[in-house]
Amino acid sequence: MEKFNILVCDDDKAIVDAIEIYLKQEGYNIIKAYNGLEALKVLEENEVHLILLDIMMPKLDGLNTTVKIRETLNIPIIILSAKSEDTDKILGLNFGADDYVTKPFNPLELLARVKSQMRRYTALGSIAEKSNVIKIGELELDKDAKEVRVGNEPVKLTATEYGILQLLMENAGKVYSIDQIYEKVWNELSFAPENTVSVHIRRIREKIEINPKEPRYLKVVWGIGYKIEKV
Amino acid sequence: MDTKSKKYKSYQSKWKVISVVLLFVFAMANFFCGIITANISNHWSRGIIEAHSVYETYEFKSEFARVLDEVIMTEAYYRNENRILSGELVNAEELIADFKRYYGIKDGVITGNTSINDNFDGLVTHGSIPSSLKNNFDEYKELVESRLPLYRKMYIQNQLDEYKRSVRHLSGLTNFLYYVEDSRGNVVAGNTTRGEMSNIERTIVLSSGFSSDNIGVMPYCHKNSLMEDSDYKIYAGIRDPFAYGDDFYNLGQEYVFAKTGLPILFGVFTVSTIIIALCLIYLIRVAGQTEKGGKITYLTVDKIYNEIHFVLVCILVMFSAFLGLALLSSILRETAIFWAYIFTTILGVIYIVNVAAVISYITSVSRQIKGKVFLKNTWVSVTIRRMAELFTGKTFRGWMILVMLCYGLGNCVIMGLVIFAAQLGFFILCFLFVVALFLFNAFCLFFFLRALRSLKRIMISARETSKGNLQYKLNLDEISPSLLNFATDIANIQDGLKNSVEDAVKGERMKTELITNVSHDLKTPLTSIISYVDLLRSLKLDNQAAAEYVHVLYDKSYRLKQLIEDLIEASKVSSGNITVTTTKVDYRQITLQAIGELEEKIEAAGLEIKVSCPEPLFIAADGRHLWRILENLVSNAAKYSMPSSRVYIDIFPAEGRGILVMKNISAAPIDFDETRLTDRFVRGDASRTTEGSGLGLSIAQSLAEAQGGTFGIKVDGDLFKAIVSMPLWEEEEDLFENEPEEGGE
Repeated sequence: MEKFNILVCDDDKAIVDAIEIYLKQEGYNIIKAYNGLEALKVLEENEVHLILLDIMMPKLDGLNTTVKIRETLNIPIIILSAKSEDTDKILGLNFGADDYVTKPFNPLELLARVKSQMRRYTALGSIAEKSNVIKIGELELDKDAKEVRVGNEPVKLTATEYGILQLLMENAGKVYSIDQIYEKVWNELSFAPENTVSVHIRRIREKIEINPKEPRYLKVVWGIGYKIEKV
Repeated sequence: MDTKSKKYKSYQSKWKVISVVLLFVFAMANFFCGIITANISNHWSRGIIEAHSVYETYEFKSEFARVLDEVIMTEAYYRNENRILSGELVNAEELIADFKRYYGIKDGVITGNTSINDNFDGLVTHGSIPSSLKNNFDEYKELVESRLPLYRKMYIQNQLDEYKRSVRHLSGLTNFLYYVEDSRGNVVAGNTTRGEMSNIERTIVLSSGFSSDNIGVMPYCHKNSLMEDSDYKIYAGIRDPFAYGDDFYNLGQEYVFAKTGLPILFGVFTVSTIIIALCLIYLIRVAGQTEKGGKITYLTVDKIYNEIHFVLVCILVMFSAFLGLALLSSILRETAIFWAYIFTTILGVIYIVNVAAVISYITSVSRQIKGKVFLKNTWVSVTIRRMAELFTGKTFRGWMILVMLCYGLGNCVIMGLVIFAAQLGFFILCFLFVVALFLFNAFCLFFFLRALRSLKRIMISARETSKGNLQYKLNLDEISPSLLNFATDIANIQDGLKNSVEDAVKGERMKTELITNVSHDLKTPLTSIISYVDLLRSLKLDNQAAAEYVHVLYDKSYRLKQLIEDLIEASKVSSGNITVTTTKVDYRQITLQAIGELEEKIEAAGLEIKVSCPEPLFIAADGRHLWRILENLVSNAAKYSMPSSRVYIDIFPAEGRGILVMKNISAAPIDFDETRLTDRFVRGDASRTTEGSGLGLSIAQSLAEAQGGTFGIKVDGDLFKAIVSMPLWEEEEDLFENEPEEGGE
């Protein structure tokens, strides 16, 4: 099997080393850099499939490095930063990054995000579009098989959970309130304020999201309802 | 520093105190010199200064003459007791005059035609007694017959007493020597012999035709006329030096004391006066300053107006001088030593008070002259300035009075001119003056209205400021000069308020930035910690304990992460550094969503949540922030509730607000003030062992307030109640918002 090259760039050597250990365990090949200029140099000399980039670095910072990389390359860039403000995230993504992970991160989450980006980058168009399959990002719902897959990995869902997910995926972008979901999925009128729906939603999220606290697909619209984001 | 203190050493308070003490000490010395000198000069006449010995002093001479008079009376006049008892020495005129004076008998009325007979027991009449005086005459006659012999006896007795006293006195003398010779040259009396007398240098001889005096006492001797028809001859002398035993000896002692004391007193007086003067000059130089040309420090006493101060000091000094003189004369007259001491003490106290007052005044004047405020700090100057202020319009009241006066005066003058012109018959002139009167009043009215308009502008501006509109600016160009000071003050207040608010906001921003930056720096190492702890966890550790330790590290590193995130959020929220987008939010929906999200935590804590809300309740809130509030509340309940208890959430509308009340039972007793629970870093457990940053409720409160809601906590025993009140959603926007009233025209 071909080994993918991942460039890890952070001015904190300990972090770079830790990430290296995780990624090596998963069978990736790691190239290390400690500032933006080094990263650009590495990119000139090697074929790199994914970049993990810190923002606050000496010589050339992460954002400017991203801009430079994007001039020539289309590979996935995941920004790792201690800057956790919304504006920082928006800025990073707008500059051309594909994902934004705030420090301190859970290593396993980082790993999952790396894998996710890798899949998208390497396995383009590997699966033929089926009519009865709804695909949103890496999330696939096969109506025929009554199966849900995330990045080709099947996910075990209960019937209710499947029903809720189908409702939301079929109407991606539309917000459903708890009562609406209850009425549509249970086929009953909702009277008593139950938190059944919200509990189910959370459980679905735990199964399909990398970080359930920062969901990519199944999102809460606070005080209004839930929706699956169109990608 | 060192050179400076050396340079201004003389200005140290140490030296000032020393000089004041010196001044007082030497003032006291002067006082005692004065008292003693006064005593001496009271005893001795001026002659003592030129006198070479006590024998030359007036005091000695008069004393000698007094004793000599006594000798003349006793030995030359009375001579012996029998002579007195025989009555031949009775001076008839003197006796009768005394008698008449004693009984109040006036000459001329009765006694004109009568005289007392030679035996002193009846009356001799010359001519007839007028019948109108008959009764008086009889009375007088009876008085003379019954009382005069007795009075004569008394007179003789007095002479006898005097004779005996003198004999006793003379016999006690040790320094005064005398003897008396009769016409035949026999010594008839005396306390010495001729032989001894011939050895005495200072002698005097008295006789009818001859007297010699080498002492110089004749002018003081009063009784020497008695010797003129006497056949006796008196030899008297004085010892030189005095022997112990009589008044002359005492006089001699006093003379020595005075003669040696006076130059010493004079010396002490001169020296201490010089020292006092020097101290005073020094104090005047350094008064009020700690260095040469330094800042003047005024004392309370300097606040007294100078001329009043001067008058007060003068009154004190004059009154004291008056009292002092009275006391001094009492001291000099007083024979009882005790009272003399008491008076001297009182005099001393008065003197010291005066010295203190004068020094205080002089140094005060010195300070004020140095500070160039001497003339300003006078009643006259202050009064003149006040009057000037009143009429130059520097104070509002003064300005108003001036304006009113001018207005009234103007009207009076023009009215007077109108009447004057009317009386003289110049009707055209009268008409012109009436027009002038109108014009004048119109002019005044115009200015009055302009001032009112300015006042209105100022009031509007003040109201805008009090409402919190810090951008409202008072335009000083539109304000009439009479209110310009007031307007400027208001404008300054507005600026100050604006600046302070801006500063506060800036400060809070900087604080938030600081916390954000620090947190950022904390996060980077924490990333490594979390990663490596996780790596350690994935290793198969042989040692069981090591695995446990790693687990603890894992938990705590995540806890640290949570704390840092909470800290950033809390600082952001409390500084208002967040964006709030209020939308229509269903209170019930969001609560159910939140409970669903936190279901895991709730189950782990073994809690059961009961939501009571029959139907959707729409409020105006920012969903994300409201979620944080609910998350914090529910997490809080999960952390601190009694295990296996129920948590009740009630949602209901009340008074235009949507209210959420969450009730749970605290596991640990809440033993402190509920108002402190929303403070940052305050937690329900004092030991702070449970997880949580202590920021949850504080964040919740700030977030609620940022959305226009309120957040409250009530504690009733172990029942913990959180109340989140949010404004209800109103479908239609109020188009008629109260816009600030525009000032001016």
